[in-house]
Amino acid sequence: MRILAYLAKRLVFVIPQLLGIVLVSFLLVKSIPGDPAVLMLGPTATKEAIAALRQQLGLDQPLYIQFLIYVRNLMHGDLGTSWQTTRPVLDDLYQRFPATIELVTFSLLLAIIVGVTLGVLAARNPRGWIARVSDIYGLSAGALPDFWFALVLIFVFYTVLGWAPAPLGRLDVTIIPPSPMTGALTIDTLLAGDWQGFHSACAHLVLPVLTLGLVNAGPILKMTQSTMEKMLESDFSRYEVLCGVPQNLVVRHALRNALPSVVTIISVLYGFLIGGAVLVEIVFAWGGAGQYAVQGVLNADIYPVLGFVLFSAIFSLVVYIVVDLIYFLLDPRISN
Amino acid sequence: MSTVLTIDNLYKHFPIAGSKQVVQAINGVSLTIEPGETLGLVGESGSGKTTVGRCIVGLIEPSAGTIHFRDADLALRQRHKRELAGKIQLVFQEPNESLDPRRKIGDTISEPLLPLRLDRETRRRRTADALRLVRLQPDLLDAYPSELSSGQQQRVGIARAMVTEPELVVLDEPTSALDPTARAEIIDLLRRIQSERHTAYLFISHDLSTVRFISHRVAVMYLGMIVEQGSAETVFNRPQHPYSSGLLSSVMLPHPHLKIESSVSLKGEIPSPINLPKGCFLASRCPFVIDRCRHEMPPAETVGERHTVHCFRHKDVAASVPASDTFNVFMKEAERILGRTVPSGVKPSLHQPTT
Repeated sequence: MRILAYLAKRLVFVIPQLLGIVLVSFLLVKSIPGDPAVLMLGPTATKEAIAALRQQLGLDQPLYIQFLIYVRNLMHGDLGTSWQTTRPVLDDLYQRFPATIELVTFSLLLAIIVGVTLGVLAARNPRGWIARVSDIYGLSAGALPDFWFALVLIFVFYTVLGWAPAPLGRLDVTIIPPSPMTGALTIDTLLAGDWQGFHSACAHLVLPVLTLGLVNAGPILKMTQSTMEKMLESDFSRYEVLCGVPQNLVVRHALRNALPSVVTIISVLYGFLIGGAVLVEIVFAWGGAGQYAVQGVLNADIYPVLGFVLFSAIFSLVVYIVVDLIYFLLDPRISN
Repeated sequence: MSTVLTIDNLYKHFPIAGSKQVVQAINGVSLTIEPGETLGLVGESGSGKTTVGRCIVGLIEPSAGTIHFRDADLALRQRHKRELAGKIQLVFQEPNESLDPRRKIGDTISEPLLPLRLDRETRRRRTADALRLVRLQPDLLDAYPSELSSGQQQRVGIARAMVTEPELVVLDEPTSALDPTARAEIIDLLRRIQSERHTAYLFISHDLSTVRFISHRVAVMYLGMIVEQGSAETVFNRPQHPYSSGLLSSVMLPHPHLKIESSVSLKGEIPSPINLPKGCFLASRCPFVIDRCRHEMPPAETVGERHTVHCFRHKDVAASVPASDTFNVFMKEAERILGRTVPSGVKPSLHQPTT
């Protein structure tokens, strides 16, 4: 019951939070130099044609009117139209956002498995070889640019060994994509019972997931290791050790105390990767949302950018609410 | 009953990373504790009190010397695991940090019973008993540490230590993180438990008035050495080592009439425990210093029943200060207040102590 009241309280704040995000991002995007009308019509356009297009797009209106119009359209589910793809932004994002989320989610799962496991093992024995490997790994993961790592993986596993499929999108070209249900190809192919498609989708995921997962395991590893070390050094863990409580139990109790920090860093990474995975998306021609937004920024195509920001914001808010609920379960002090 | 704990010539040196030097934390500590007895271990911070406690419970391996619990050599702790389990317990200084914030009080208290391989029913009963012993309400079994005051948290720490029915409890400054009321309650509680269960305590503290109140015997530590050891009454009333005398003169008893007279005032700073001087460690600060002190470490001299002093001039030190019964008056007064024999409404009055 308490959890429901808490959830309701959190949800009440979602709308004003989103409005604030839309306002700030609208102002920021508008302050980027570049006139979409000029870009759309090209270098040969006349002044009159540009002025006419500006009027048609509402660009001659004062900024606050433009904002109000945008918000009014949002209420009706209209996120504007991209002049590059000439399609409604909402349709574009429905197609591309799940691609990014699928990629980021699998990458994060890999990062969690690698980071938390190594972190716990390193903290268990701070002078052991796993701890030393973790230190080097944490450092190099922080120093490696993900796109470079992606290129190395492509070179080794596609060019040299030929194990991985060509880094050109999410499915083999010979495979007909399943009808979109969730947008995540692994799930959609499974739902359609298309084993060949499922296999192809997974094969295409392997290298980008390895790239993002291994690079982003670094911060999770560091956080797990340092909090676990602190917990195992604390009086309550030492007491367990000297009472003769088995080490596995001591580590499990310490991990429960270390989890909130680990969950926090995971949630931050999740929100960050939606946009942060863009370079890897480009390397693998993933066709994700980050790629779409960057194209928008470069071409003064503001509605895709705003749409992307809005989608990412909603995604992050959902992630944070889920994380708060996880805290609720992990930490008796909050739930009381 | 035989002696509970015997420490013989214990040394602990911590290596300094990147250097050949060592921190000489303990330098030849010997002491004994009898069943049902409280030994107060006092000294300034950095004197090695806590290190001694940690060596006893096994958190630190000594560099040299032996610790025997009854007849078991604690260096072979692993071999005596079964018979030692739960026999030596520890209460930490910070009640808050010593309890797992995500475990219920009941689970925390019963945890030391897990390695004893008792059945569930016995564990439950012992946990309830321990909670009753420290006078906490049974409904707190399902509470989390954050819902408790620090006094209550420390009671949980004591209950957790008592649940295995130990013969020796190392109390590492158990009251220094508490406010005066909670402190008095914890001390009262510890004394009551001792009289019920005949548990021996090693009470580590720098709070001398508390030590006087709870201890049967005291050991005064300075730079990893016990400079004087004896019954609480004799050491407090007539200290024979200049350091004990100086330390006692720094005590502020909680009443303006209770003043401690001492002519021993120590000058200067404590030498670094990395480069300890050759002779007596106190030589550079001691008003009684003679040439011999600077070259030779004074040996332990027995000056009374279970009373030893490491000082060449202990007779002069003892003679320099008139014997004082200030601490006795303080004890009586404190007992009277804690005993609550005074009818309510009557303010306890203090008489000028006779010196």
